[in-house]
Amino acid sequence: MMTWIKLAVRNLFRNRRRSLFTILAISLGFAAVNVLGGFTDYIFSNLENSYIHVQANGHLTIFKPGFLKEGKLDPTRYLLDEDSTKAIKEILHRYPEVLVVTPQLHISGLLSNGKVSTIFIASGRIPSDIRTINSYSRGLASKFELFTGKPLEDDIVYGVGLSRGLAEQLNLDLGVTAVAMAPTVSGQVNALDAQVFQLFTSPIEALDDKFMLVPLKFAQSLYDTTSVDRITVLLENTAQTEPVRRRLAQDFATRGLSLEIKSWNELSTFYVKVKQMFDIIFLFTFLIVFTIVVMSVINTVSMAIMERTREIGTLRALGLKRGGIVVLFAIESLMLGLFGSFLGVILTLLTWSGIAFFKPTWVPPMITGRVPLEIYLVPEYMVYSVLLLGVLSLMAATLPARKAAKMQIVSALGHT
Amino acid sequence: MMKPTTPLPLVELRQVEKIYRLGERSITALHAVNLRIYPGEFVAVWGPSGSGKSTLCNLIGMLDVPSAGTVHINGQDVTTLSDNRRSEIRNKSIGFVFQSFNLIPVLSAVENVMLPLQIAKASTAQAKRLAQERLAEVGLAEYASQRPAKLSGGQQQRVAIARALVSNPSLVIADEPTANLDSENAIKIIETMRELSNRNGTTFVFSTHDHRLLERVERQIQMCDGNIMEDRMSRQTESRRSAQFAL
Repeated sequence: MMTWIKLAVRNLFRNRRRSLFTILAISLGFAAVNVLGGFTDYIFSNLENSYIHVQANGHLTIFKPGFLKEGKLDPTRYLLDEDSTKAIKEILHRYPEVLVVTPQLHISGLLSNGKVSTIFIASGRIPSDIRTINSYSRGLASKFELFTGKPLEDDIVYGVGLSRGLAEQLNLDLGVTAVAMAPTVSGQVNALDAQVFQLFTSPIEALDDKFMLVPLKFAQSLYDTTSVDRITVLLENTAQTEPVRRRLAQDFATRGLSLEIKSWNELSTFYVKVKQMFDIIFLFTFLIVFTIVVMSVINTVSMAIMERTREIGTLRALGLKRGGIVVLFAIESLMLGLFGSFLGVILTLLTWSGIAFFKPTWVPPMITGRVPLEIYLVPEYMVYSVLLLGVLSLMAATLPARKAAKMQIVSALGHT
Repeated sequence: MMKPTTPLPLVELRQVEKIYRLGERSITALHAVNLRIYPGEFVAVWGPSGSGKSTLCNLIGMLDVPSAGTVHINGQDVTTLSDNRRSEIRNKSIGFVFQSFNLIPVLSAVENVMLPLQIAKASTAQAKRLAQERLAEVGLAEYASQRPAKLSGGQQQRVAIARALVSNPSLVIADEPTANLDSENAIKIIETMRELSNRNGTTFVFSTHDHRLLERVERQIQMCDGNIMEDRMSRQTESRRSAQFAL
C-alpha cells in the first residue's frame, strides 16, 4: 500500500498549481466551516450563559402542570403553596448537582408615576439567590454591569428595578417612587409603593417598556399570597440538565407530586430561534463548501485521468486490476482532502490567533455596549471536518476513477 | 517404443478474428488467424502499418479480446476469463515492452521495474532486490535512482525491458519496441532482448516494420491486411523444433 500512497503523493505534485488550488479550495472551505462553527459556539455559549446565569433563570424550572398554558387565566390554581415549595426544596437539596434552588413569582399590573400609569410585567425573586446565580456567570456577560443604580435587597421590599423603556415611559429615574397596582389572588385590587433602585435593559426587546424586577416579597405582597409560581434550579453544569430532570421527575412521581419540569432551552425562545437561524446559516455554508470540495476534486481527478490515460493503460497491462486503478485515484483524492484539511486547520488556527491578538469588538443584539468578538476552537468540529472532507474527497474521486478503470486497455495505451 | 508427442505451444491462436467498429463501419484487423508460438522462441511480427501486427500482439498479450476464435496461453483458453483473472495472468506470465516505453514518470527506474512485483503484492524489499538485479542485467544498475526524464530513449527502453522481465514471465510482448529509437539503439535493444531470451528461456514476440532487425530473429511472421502471409523460421529454430517434436 505504501507504494501506491507514494505514487499518489508524487502524482499530486506533478501538476503543482492545479493540486495547490484544489488544496486551497478545500482548506478555505475547512476554515470557513470551522470559523463559523467556532463563532456559533461562542454565540450559543454566551446565550446559554446569559439565560441561565445572567438572567438567573437556572437550568431547570419547576411549575405546576399546565401553568405555562393556562397560568395567566387562573393563576391561583397553578400556584405552588408553601408546603409544596418546602417539599420540592427538600427533594432538590438531596441532589449534589444542585447549586441553587430559588422560588419566583411573576406578576403583572399597572405602574403609576402619580399622573399616568402603564402596564408592567415583573419577576419577583429573592435578590440574594439571584446574586448567587449571577456569580456563576462566565464569559462575556460576566464582564458587564447589568444595571445602573443599586442592587435589590431581600428585606427592602419596596426597592425595585425597572427596564429602561418602562422608566422612560413614566419619566421615572433612580430613587423616585412609583405605585404598583395589581389584583390579588382573591380578586381585590392592591397597590404598593415602589422605589426605583435600579435601571436595566430588558433581556427581551419587546418587554423593555414593561419589565420590572422586584423582590419576591414585593410580588407576594402585591398578590397577597405566600405562594410562588415556579422554582428555579441552578445545576453545576449544563450537561447535567437532562439526567437531573429525569431523576427529578421520578422522585416527584414517587412522592406523589404532580409537577412539570422544563429545561432552560425549552423556555428560552430567543436561544432556540438564534440557534435555528445559525443552524440554517451553517447548513448553507456547509452545502457551499461541500459543492466546492466535490467539484474541485472531481475536476482535479478528471483532469489527472485524462492526462494519465496512457499510464492507466500501462498499469492495467502490467496486471493492475480495475479496482487497483480506483484505489490509486481514490488515494490521490484522499491525499488532496487530507492536505486541504491540514492547511484548513492551520488557517483556522491563524484566524483564531488573529482574533485573539487583535481583539475586535462588536455590538451583539440587545447588548448596549461593544463586546469582544470571539471564536472558540472546537476540536470535535475539526475532527469531524477532517473525516467528512476525507470521505467527500473519496466519494468525489470514485465516479471518474471508476470510469478510468473501465477503459479498454488498448484504447488507453493508444491515448495521446 | 514411445509415441512422438507435440510439445505444448505457449501461445495458440485458433481462427482468431478481430473486427473494430467505427460507427456504422467495421474494419477487420485480423482474418481467422491460426498461430502457434512455442516456449523460448524469439519471434518478430512484421509488416506495413495497418497490417494487424499490433492487434495480433494485443491479443497474444491479453490486452484485448478477439471478436471470434480463441486464444490459448499455456493450453488455457483465456478469451472467456474474467477481467481480474486476465489481469492476474498478465501480471505473472506476460511482460510488456511498448513503443513509447510507457514508464511512470514520477517513479525512478528501479521503482518502475518494481511495479509488476508490487502489483503482485511482493514485499518492497524483495521487489527492490529483484528489480536491481534486472536493471543490472540490462546494464543500468547505476541509473536505478534516476527518473525516466533523465534517461535517454535507449536507456528508457532497457528499463522497460527490465520491467517486463522482473516477474520472470514465460512470454514478453514488445509492440514496436525500436520505433522511437535510432538504428544503433534499436539493434542494441533487440540484441539485449535476444540475449535475455537465450539466457532465461523467455519467449519474445515483437512487432516491427524495420527489415534490418529481422536477420536477428529466429522466426519471422509476415502480416498483411490482417492475414499471416508468411511464417518463416531460421534453420537453427527449425532443427530445434524438429528435435523437440522428436522427443
